[in-house]
Order: sequence, then C-alpha cells, then structure tokens
Amino acid sequence: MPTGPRLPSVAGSFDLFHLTFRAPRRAALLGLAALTALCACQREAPGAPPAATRAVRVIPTSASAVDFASALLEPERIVALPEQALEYSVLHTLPASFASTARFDVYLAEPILALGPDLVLADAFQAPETTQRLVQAGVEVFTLPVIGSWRDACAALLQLGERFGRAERARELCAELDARVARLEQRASSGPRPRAVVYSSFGGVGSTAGADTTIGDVLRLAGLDNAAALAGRTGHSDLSFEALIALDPELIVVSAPLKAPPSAQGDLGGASERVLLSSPALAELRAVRERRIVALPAWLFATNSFEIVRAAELLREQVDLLAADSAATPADAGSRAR
Amino acid sequence: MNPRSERKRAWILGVLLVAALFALLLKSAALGPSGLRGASVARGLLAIVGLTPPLEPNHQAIVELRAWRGLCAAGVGGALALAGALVQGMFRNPLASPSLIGVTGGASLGAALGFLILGGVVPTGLALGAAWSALLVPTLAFAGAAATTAVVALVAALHGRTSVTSLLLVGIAVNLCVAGLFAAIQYLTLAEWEVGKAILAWTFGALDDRSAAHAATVWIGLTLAALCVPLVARELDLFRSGEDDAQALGVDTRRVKTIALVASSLAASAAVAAAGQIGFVGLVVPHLLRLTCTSNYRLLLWLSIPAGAVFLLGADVLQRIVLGDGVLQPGVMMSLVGGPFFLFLLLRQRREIAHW
Repeated sequence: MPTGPRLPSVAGSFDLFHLTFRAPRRAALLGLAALTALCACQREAPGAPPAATRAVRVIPTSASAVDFASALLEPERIVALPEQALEYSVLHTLPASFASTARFDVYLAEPILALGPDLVLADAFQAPETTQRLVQAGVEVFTLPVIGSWRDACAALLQLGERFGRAERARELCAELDARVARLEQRASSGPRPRAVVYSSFGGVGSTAGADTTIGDVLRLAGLDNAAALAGRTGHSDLSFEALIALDPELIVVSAPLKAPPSAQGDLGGASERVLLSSPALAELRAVRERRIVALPAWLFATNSFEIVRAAELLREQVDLLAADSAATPADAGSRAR
Repeated sequence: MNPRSERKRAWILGVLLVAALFALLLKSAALGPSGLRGASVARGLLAIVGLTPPLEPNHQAIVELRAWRGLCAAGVGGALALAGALVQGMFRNPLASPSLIGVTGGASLGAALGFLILGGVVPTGLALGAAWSALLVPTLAFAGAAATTAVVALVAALHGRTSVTSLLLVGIAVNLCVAGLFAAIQYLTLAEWEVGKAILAWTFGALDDRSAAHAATVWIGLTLAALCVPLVARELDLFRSGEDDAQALGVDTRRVKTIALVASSLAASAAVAAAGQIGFVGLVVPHLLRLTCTSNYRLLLWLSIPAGAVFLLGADVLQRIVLGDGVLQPGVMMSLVGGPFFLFLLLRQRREIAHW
C-alpha cells in the first residue's frame, strides 16, 4: 500500500520558530529560511555516503533498473514499476508476483514521491532535475553505472547487492552469468564466426551498432563478428544502404517489434526486416538474398543490463537453427524470429 | 536594370546553373562509403539507361543508389525553391515559405502516422507487404501535406473571397494545430524509442537510401508545378504592387492564387514525401536570385528550379566531401550552412536591402 509523499524534514525550523516566538517575525523567518537551505545543501552534497539503512521500499525507474531490481529483490520490496519502460525489461510479460505492483508513467518527482520510496534506482541518462528533486526530498537515488558489456553489468549487480543487503544473491547471479558466458564461448569457439551487422530502420535512414555497444557485446558473446565494429564504427551510427552493401554481412540482426502483428509473409522481424526485404538496392545483398536475417525480441535487442547474456544465448540458438536450415535446404533458409 | 539585359543575365545564369547541376550530379555519383569510383561508376550510370551491360549486382545497386540520391537532392531542391518563390509571390512577402501554408506540418503528421503503423503502435489490421511498407511513409507524408494545404485553402475561402491575409492567418492557425498533434505523437511515443527516433529523424530530412520511386515522386511533382508557372508568372509580377491594383489591371486574382497555391503545395508535398523536412531552401533560394539576378517573376520562377537544385545538391556534395557520408542530415546541414551564408549575403547587400 503506497504511503503519502514524504516531505523534506524541517523539524528544526519549527523548533527554531517556537524558540524565537517572542523575537521579531523577520528574524524568525530568516532563521527558518537559513536552516531549511542548510538542510537542503547537506542532502545535496556530492559524494555523501549512502544511508546505512536497508532500502525497504525500492522503485526502479528504467528498463535496466527493473532488470536489476527484480533479480536482486523480493517482489514486495519493489514498490512500483515504470509503465513506459516495462516492455523493454525482463518483466515485460509481468509475472503474477508483480501483477498488483503499482505503476507510474514517467520519471517525475511527484508521482514517485507519492509512492513513498526510500531508494530510487535510475539510469544516468534520466532527467537530472527529477533526481535532484528526489534527493532534496530526502530520497536516496542510486544511479546505475553505464553498462557497455556483461562484465559491467556484473559489477553493477555486485554493487547493488551490497546496497540492498543482498550481496550473497548478487554473487550467485554473477557466478551463474560467468558459467553461461563460458558455455557460450565454448560453443562459439567450435565453429566459424559469421560476420554480422545489427540493423534498425523504420523507413528512414537505418542505423547500426559498432564497438562499445551492448548489442555489440551480444554479437561477440553469440560467436559473431560485428562487421560494423571491424570497419571502425563505434557506438550507434547511421548506416546507409551503400554502407551496408559495402560491409556485405553474412547475417543481419534486427529487432522484432513490440506490438506489430506479423506481416503477410509471415515474418516477425517487423519494420527493419521489411525495409531490408523491400529495397531493390539490397536485393542482391548476400544476407538478404539468402534470408539470413534474425530477429531478437525488442526487449533483448535494447537491453542494457545483465540480460545481454540471455540475448546472446537466444541469438546463438537462432544462428544455429539458421545454419541447420541452410545445410538441410539451402534455398529455403527463411528469416527466423522469436 | 533594363529588361533586355536582365533577361540576358538570367539566361546566362540559367545555363551556368544547368551546367553546374550536371557536374554536381556526376560528382555526387562518385561519392560514397563503398569506395566505388571512376570508370565503374560511369559504366554503372550508363547501364541505368541501358547503354552498357550492368555491373556486378551489388556494384550496380550502389551506383543506382547514388544516382537516385543525386536526382532526389536536385529534384527536392528545385521543388522547394519553386514552391518558395510561388508562395513569396502570392503572399507578396519575401519571408514566406512553403511551411506557411501547412505543407511541412501536414507532411510531418502524415509521416508520423506512417511510422506509428510500421512500428505497430497504431494497429491497422492490415498485413502490409514489404513493398507497401517502404512506400507507406512517403505516401502518407504526401497525403498529409496535400490535405493540410487543402484545409488551409478551404477555410481561408469560407467567405467566398480568399484574401492573402486570411490565407496567412489560417495557415498559421492550422500549422499550430498540426504542430500540436505532432508534438503529442512525439510525446506519446517516447516509450517506443525506435518509433520515436524514426519520427524525430524524419524531421531532419534524408537523402540516403533513396529509390527510383522517391526520385519519380519529386520529379513528377516538380514537373506538374512547373507546368503552372506560365499561368501565373506575369500575374505575380502585377501582384507586387498589391492585390487590388492587380485586380484593377484585369488580373483574375482568385485564379492566380488558386493556381499558385496548388502548384506550390504540389511541389513542396512531393519534396517532403521524397526527402522529409528540409527547411531553408524555399526561403533562401528565391532571395539569392533576387539579390544576384532578378526579382521579375517571369524569370525568377524558372531560375529557382535549377538554382534550388544546385543549392541543395551542392551543399550535400560539399558536406560529403568535407565531413564524409551520414554525418549531417540535409535539414541540419541547410540550417548550419544556409543560415550564415544568407546572413553574409544580406550584410553584403545592406544598401539595397535598406530600400526594401
């Protein structure tokens, strides 16, 4: 049951007001303002150590924050879930244990304060003014580090585990991730590493992911070479058809749509796959001609947490299926999607 | 300037612009990230018109992509400049641009709807095939632009007489409504980050990955609009001293406004359908022509086509040479390059401008 908003503590101000009751009103008000400002400054002080208390009521505010929080915490400690980001998180299918958890739309101070959290889990890119308001209101905001690979995600898990008083659980999760990554690497080392390109387009200019991206790490773990990264691309960048033809990948990885129904062709790869298949300029591109296009579910395609490992496992499975299909009936290797 | 020397000057400029356009088209075809150059590109270009056998399929596809890009940039530049010149003549205001009659806003709304359908945010119940998916955004952008312009024209003519002032005011009001709807769509799709990104990217314009369909769209629109030029050019010159004066001289002002409105919206709608939002060309190119050559609409309207084509294609080629492919989208580039350039010209010609 959500409690009401927690107001900043100004108890000291009221005490002062009562103590200076006989003094001139202006002096009392000045004292009140100075003390309130002092309290606010102390709460905002950068580098202040986190409260030593155990965070009981936690609100994750982004998709990756939901991934981390739901992996480490008991459902009852997660007070609310972010409506807009939920579909891109591990809870996109919303398990029964979270069915009655409150929701909020956007990362704004008022609705979050109304839910009475004592810790908010946010990403660095989220509105800094909202973070500042929450801190001023006395709520601890834990900002997740930037995740570029599964190792970064593991480090964040351990850090959060300490903060949540769930260090043992975090260590177990990391050990499990280590084992899964080892299995993936073993699988990848036994065969060739196809050159793949990540492609995303909704009818405008397409984009791809080069080095230093989470989806790039997914490709690497799945035993694929990221052709864009090999060509010197870093981060997310535009990819014209000509640049795509020049990369000539053996495989193209796209995102399956969140909501779009399958098209008449039965493909589930959504808009990006349709752009690839419908453009005359790409008709002779090897990956398009041989229909070597695989689609990852949108939430895994965009994941920014330790779910990178799950994305890589799924991608590896699809690549293996595609290879098996190609070996069985070379002309009938269609696109696959989950 | 006497009319004969003005006409001669316009002809010389026209010939120079057409020559520059051909040179830029060839240069554009030689630029790209794949490293395909020289003789291969020339053979590929000749193969498009059936004069030589095609190159290896992927190389031929690359040459065709570059050719469609060049033709699209030239067509879009020409169409926007012509639309701008027509709108400025009709409104008798050198600050008018095609966006004033709702073209840009309507196209944005149509394109946003297309992205929502493609992204599955708006379920249509239709199973869109691959080819229809590719055409959806340009088609809806064109429909949006044409529909908004029609609404502006119809509402402005509610009382039987379409004054330039009422067109201007209705255009501003409709633009505000459309901009509000567009902003609402952008806000509501914040969570659908792929769709939101596609909608935002469309507002920067795009010349990459154009196809024959894009090039055909813009050139057909431009040709149809250009066919209207002889019907309004002389009359727009008479408009310069005022609508009432033009009417007193026997000009059917209603007919002229209707033709100018239809022609400008056709040209601008085709341009935004083919390449998204690219501002500035429609505003600046007619100005540049006025500053450098003529303000006579019988010459200005025709010159604006090759001038707009050279302006946009030239800027595109230049930025690809200097910065490389895919660094700046054309809408951004136009604002960054066109703004300071226009300011420079205005400062250089400040004496003449003082008399405007």
